[in-house]
Amino acid sequence: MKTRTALIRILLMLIVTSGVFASGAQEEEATRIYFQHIGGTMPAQGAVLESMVEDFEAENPGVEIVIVNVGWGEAYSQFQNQVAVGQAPDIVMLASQWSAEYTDLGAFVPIDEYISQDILDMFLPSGFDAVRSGDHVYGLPWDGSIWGFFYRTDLFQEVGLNPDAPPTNWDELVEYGKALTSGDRYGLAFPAAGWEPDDYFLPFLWQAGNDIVVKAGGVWKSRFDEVSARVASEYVYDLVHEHGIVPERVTGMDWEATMNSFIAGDVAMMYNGMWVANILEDYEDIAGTWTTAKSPVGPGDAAVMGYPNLLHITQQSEHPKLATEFLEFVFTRATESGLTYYELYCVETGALGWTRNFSETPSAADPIMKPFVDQVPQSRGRPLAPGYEQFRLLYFNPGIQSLITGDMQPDEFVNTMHASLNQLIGN
Amino acid sequence: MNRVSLPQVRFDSMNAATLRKTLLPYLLIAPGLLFVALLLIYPLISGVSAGFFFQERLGGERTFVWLDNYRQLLSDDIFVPAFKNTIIYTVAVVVLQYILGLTLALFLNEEFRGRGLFRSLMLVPWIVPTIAGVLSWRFMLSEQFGILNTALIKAGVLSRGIDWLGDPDVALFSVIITAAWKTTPFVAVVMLAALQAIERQMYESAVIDGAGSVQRFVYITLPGIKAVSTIVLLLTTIWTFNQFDVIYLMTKGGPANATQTIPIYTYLNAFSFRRFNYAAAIATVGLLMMLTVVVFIYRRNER
Repeated sequence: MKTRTALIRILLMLIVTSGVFASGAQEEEATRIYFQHIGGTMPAQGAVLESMVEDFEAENPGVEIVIVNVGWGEAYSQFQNQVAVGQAPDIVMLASQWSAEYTDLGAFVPIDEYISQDILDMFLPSGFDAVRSGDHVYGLPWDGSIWGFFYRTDLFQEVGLNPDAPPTNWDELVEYGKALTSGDRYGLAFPAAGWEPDDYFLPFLWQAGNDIVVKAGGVWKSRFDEVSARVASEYVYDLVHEHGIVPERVTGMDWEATMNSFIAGDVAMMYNGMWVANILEDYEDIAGTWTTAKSPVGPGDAAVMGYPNLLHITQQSEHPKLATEFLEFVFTRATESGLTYYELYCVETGALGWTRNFSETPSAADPIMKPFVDQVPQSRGRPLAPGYEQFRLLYFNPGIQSLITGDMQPDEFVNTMHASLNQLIGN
Repeated sequence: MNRVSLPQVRFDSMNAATLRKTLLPYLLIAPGLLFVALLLIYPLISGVSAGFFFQERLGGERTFVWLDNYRQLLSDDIFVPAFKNTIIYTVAVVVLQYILGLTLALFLNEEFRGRGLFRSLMLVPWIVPTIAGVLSWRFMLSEQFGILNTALIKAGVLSRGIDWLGDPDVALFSVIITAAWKTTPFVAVVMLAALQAIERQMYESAVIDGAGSVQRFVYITLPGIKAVSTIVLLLTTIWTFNQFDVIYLMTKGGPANATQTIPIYTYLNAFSFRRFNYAAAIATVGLLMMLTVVVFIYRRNER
């Protein structure tokens, strides 16, 4: 009897154990695709990511998409470490300047060899600027941002300016700024603290017709020695010191502090990132008293700062084809809202889709968003020259701050920037 | 000087028991030594040696460049001001937090109602996460909305607010104040413990002998807290010199590099510019400076 009981027990154990191992084996069979995403802290954004994964997994049994959310602060160094130790995710989201660096280092597969031409044609060509190398492109545009122009309609009315006719060029910007500046209130502000100043100074250079740094004959060269750089520098210097419409204190104001000044009515016009529009809409006290417009045009060109983040399939991915299928699904599959997962992600994130037809989505027609969407074709990213990041953090931003505080005159500024940039890019 | 000599191991004339007894201490400390070697010595050697190489990227080919990275430092127009700022920042924060900490400790060493509550409240800056503390300070120091400017203007001290974080002439000062605020409670707690270790009778005898409060402080308190003060100064100097979070969160080294320090510059080179070897050279210079300070303070204390 005892022997029989023991045998039954052993048999049961074997069945249970084999079941456990069988389910374990089944789990092991699932192919995992790791998607390293920056953000994921906004509930609405997280929900879109979750639903795109669920739907893809339902259509592709045996495939598991693992979304790994990382913060902006550690995204760069984390990917760097992963690449170094051979643990890169299959799909990675990166800011465009990082994408350019890792494209040069050969960290990504040429995406045009995997994804269909139809999908590549969906995007605006500028979305590939950072990841074009030779005859290939190494990433796909993801959510994009434009740095734009905001103004207070109530303050315009208060000083007799037409709130429906914002400044359209540099001269008008000064004229409006002077009309709006009085007492403790300044006409214009833009963030110039920390590492932000160049995001707002570069458009002035572009609008003056300057390209900052260009590659000619295979060699990068600074363009700070051109008259246009001097024109832009003098214009910004004069906004603060000659016309007095921009406070010197912007050197201590990040985008949030600038936004707070705008909310408080301490500045009437500001340049800021488009994400600020989403935040301002939550402030009921100023509802209906502000709006956005296209950035005033300079003597050289219409230009704004704007670029998309990018998605890449890494060289270390063991499943590049499957990763591509997932991306195709995200970019083409329509959701219940009628938007694709990609478009829905951008809308929920308060960002722009870098596709040709994003301007046709209902969100792009919103009067606040429209000026940003309309400026996508004029948008430009930070220069991609090697050494630019170093130049930006160590010389350019401190230089812009010195220009604003008056510690540097425009002449000295352009000469110093020209010398530093040429030195850092190897000339 | 007494010298401690290690036991001489003579295997030929040793029996098993003696051998076991002789080797046992070494075997017992071996895991600990290995642990220290792995966690401390290896990274240290690895970090210092990285400064003698050039490597395009992590995992890439390494080229031995001898002192090139150090030569570059001498002509680096960001490193030199960063070095100067680090010295000013370290000295100012350490001195300020020591004076404030000692003052607080002296105050809290006295008998008064609510002393326990004060002692607890004093720890708040130390307990609060750095990010929360720094953000509060950034808000308080805001040129437009900050409570400090508002108070100074209302009190008639200023007619216009000071741009505490945006003006290159005052930004370093603002960061120093914030850092000192954050770490003063540590100094106060340690100094309070030191003060409480001084025997009460010494003060009572001094009072009987007619010593005033200044004399009691100079001749009893100061000698009584000297050893602890040395340790406190040593630790706070090392921590402050290597401090990254407060400056990074407040100004990121700006405006116009006015608060650029060696830790920030090391971080930028390593993680923003991918110049790991150059960053290692900067860190090594910092390490040497710290070693010099440590040796100096220890020597002074030994005298």
